[in-house]
Amino acid sequence: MEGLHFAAGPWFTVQRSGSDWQTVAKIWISDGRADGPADVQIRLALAPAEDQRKGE
Amino acid sequence: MVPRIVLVAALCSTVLVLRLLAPPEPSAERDRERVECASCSGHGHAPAPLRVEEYERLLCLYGAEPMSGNSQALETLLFHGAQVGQLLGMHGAGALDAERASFLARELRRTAATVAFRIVDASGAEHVRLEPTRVRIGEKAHLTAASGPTLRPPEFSGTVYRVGLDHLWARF
Repeated sequence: MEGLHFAAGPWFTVQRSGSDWQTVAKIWISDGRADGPADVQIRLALAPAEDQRKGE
Repeated sequence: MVPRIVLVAALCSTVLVLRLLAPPEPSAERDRERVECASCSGHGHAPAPLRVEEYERLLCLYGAEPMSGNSQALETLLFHGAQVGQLLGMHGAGALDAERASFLARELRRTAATVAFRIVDASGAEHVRLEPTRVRIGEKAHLTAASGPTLRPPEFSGTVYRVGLDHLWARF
């Protein structure tokens, strides 16, 4: 496996900050023993400003 | 007397050999991009430049609109956040009232987002997970997710942009 790479995407998404997981792709995954369909999911959230992070 | 066609063929093959021996040097920027990530595009998705006249027009509109996502002008100012921050420093907030100017300045200081990834199968089991990770808006990020012992941890590369008061756009 060393040196073996693959790429997928690009995946685009527009989300309301803090909303639930959004599926950007349906893929097939395998760990060598079992395989099946899976979802690639992304969540985005706007972070507070540096001066608003006190107490985080 | 060497036929002309033989001379041309010899010259072409010499040029070809030289090109094979010494390929053109890639630009430093492209080279750096290759080092950072072999799989992602080097093309940016930054918003188009905002002209000063348009900035001033948006400030005027925002002055008459609510401090919420219902203000198209505020949404547009935040979409151009990095440029608006610079224009605010150079040209000020014009006739914008103090409350709206303060609200805009506070929102412009929010220059980061958190990104989380997961790959989940049909049964709901997670095979890959990236906990919410802080990234700078408008800057390419390379994030490595955690995975189980039988899966190689994948890398997610991409950029997040702010496209309004509460909305984010991402390409990974």
